Amino acid sequence: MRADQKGYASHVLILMLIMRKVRGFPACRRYFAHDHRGLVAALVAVALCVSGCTAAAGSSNTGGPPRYGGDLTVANALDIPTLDKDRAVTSNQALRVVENIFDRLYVLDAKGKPVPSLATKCTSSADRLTWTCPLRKNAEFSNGRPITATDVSFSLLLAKKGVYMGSLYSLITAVQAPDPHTVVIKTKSPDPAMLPKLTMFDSGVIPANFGGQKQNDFWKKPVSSGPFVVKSYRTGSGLTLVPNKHYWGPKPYLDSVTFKPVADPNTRVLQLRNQQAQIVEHPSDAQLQTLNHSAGLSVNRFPSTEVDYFSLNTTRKPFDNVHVRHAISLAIDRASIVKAAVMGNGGPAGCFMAPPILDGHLPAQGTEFNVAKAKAELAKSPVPNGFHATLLYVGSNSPAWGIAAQVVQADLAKIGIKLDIKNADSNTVSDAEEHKSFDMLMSLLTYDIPDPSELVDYYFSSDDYHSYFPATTMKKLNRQAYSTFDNAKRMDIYQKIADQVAADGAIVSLYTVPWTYATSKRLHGFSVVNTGQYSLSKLWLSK
Amino acid sequence: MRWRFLGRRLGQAVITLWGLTVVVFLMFQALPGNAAAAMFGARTSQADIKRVNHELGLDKPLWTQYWHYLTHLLRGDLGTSITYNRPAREVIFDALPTTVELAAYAVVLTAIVTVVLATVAAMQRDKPIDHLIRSVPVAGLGLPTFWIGTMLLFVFALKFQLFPAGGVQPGFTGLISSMFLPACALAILFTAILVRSLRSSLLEVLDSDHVLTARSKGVHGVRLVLRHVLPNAAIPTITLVGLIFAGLLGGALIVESVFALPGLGSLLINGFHAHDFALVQGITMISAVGILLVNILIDVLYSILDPRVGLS
Repeated sequence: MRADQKGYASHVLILMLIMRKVRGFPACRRYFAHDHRGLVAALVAVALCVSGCTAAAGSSNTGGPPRYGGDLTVANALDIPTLDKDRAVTSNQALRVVENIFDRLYVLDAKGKPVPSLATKCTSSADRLTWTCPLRKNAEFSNGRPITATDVSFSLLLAKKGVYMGSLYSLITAVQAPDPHTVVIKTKSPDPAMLPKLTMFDSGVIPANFGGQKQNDFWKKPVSSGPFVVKSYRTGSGLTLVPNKHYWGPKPYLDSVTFKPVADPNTRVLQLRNQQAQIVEHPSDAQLQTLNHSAGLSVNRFPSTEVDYFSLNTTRKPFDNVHVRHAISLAIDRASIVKAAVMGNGGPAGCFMAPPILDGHLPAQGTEFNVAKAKAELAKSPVPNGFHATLLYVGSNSPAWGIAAQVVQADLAKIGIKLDIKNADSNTVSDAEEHKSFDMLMSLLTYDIPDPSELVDYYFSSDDYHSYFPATTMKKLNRQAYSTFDNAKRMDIYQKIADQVAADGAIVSLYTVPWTYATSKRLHGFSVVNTGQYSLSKLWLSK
Repeated sequence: MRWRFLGRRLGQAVITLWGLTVVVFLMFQALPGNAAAAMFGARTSQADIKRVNHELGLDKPLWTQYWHYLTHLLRGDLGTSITYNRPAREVIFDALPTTVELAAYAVVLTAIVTVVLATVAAMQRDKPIDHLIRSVPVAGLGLPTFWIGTMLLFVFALKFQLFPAGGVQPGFTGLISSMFLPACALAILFTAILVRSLRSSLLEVLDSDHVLTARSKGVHGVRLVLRHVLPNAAIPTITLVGLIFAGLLGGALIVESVFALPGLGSLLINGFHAHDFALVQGITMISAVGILLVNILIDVLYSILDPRVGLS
């Protein structure tokens, strides 16, 4: 092979690598908490490590009294494709903007609890079928027009009609505006998760009928009701927000916030170190080692609701057998997966509901690692000597999945299960889901609202997370959870559901990972709630 | 003669493009999974998926879908980008200038460096400087573009802070400054190939009778090179430029990603992420048109530079 041929060959190889890595898994597109070029990142991070960097790590949340002024730049892995609040669900980057430009009746506080925002308070009727929400009288859109109940009604009903997340509001039958400052929400049955749902990004308030604009034109530069307003937005180049002078709440500290798409994880970190950016999302696990020892930078981890798991196709033998499912779960060393796949930046998961959403509850049966017990379970099954199976996953969804799959493969081999690992593209996986033509399928989930009901409801509308398991007990428990407004009782029921998921064994949860951001130490007030939201209006930059 | 040649080449290009439409269309049809389901995610109801499939015409026979795609393409309609919810043509033409600027910058840098290095190497044949020029650029071929890009950023943006670490700065000087390192990353790759080619041609021309005649008339140095040697020696290299143009676009895909440039490469990556077929198909077609046009241009340029070469 000639030198120039070798050059082209290496070029093609890298191109193929990137092409292979960039194919996303559509069903969970917005849940991508990871960057998709982990291997490349790791290689170059090692090179950067070798080239030397000075040490010092710390928190970005100190620095004396807040200071007004300064321009913040956030380097995102992907472009912001849309500001349409329904479509925004396809992009985490879009969500972070939408949450800061559209005010909601309720928002999440720093601890992730719903607190009144545009509404002064929402109260439910005695029969729990009507919610009455008085609005703040001083609230205005960014164009100076007062925000009325008609706008809120229009916005909530638009969210209900949403193709992507509309099902979350399925219990709502009507949203009325009896006077300009009162919103009345009617539901067909009691909904104890109403307040968390009112914090959802897609319930954000926009002018009724898009303020007279065409819908598509409106989303290009929307009128804002939140603390920030869009100053400029160009596809591929990024988006700049400035404070909304008409916002009823506290004035943001920053003069502007710019979100820039920087696809390469190494360039994102270089921009951070160069002070071209102050927040970098999703540094790779390999980069974290470097960043932890870089002067002027901080690595910030916040508990998240992400759970990475695999479903067992219970329409196929032998996964229809509970002993087989238990054996698989018992044979997996989740601590090793956390160590190997996410370099220790995470914890074990025993259910698709992460511990932060269940007040820290972690189902014991879902996390137990006991090879002897696993063998004993398998001995009770129709396949006591083991069997062949295939684990399907979309490698480009998470660089950690390939490693996790290898650990699972090694663990299951110890009890006689020979596992083939198949890294497929997302279309292949969609096809396998549609035709139920897989054995085991890796996936991940996160919450949008701080209420366990979201993913439990979604479980029943997604073919039981593609396990096709007839979860009769779970359905019964879920009905009970909807019958009470007592939060302690509800939490108790959802913890029972979590235990039931582990007992059924159709969903084998593996690990949880935190939200991870690298930030400049000049940045203060940065805090991410477990559902991923962060408030830009609380951020400030020191000199 | 030249117009007839041009017409024939354009005709061939049209046939090539038509073939490409078939390949691109069938390629996406062959992908497993349902496009509408892929677009909208798991929480969308089957009714919505059916509705969208119908709206997109995905429930129609294959040939009907292809005819729809082709007729819209001929009208310049590349479809609607599902990522941006805008016409794909608009989105692509927003990003196109960045890629064109990057490619042009890289070509200019490559041309300058190639001419200087190849001329020095040829004039200093078999001396240490010649060996150095022939061997060092070859290293560029062996290094991955993303690594070259990251190292350029690390050294010139982070250590010496001479250039921004990616992105495009406002204004003309901002553009020139922002594009310098990415253009260098591309130029390093192609300079190695072109220097060798141009040096060989220069040596051949330097030994030719007309250069000997020029020398005997007292023409030496820069004038000899610029007037009598380079125009003749550049012809094979210009042909090579046409061939590597496709490689340049491929390289731009990686370079734009590393340097956070909002061009077609970054857009293509976003398109793949989002399964945005209209966007990916549109970029493929526009890139193909660009490559074909450049190659036709090179052929014409070839005949202008060397009138002995016919256009038949």
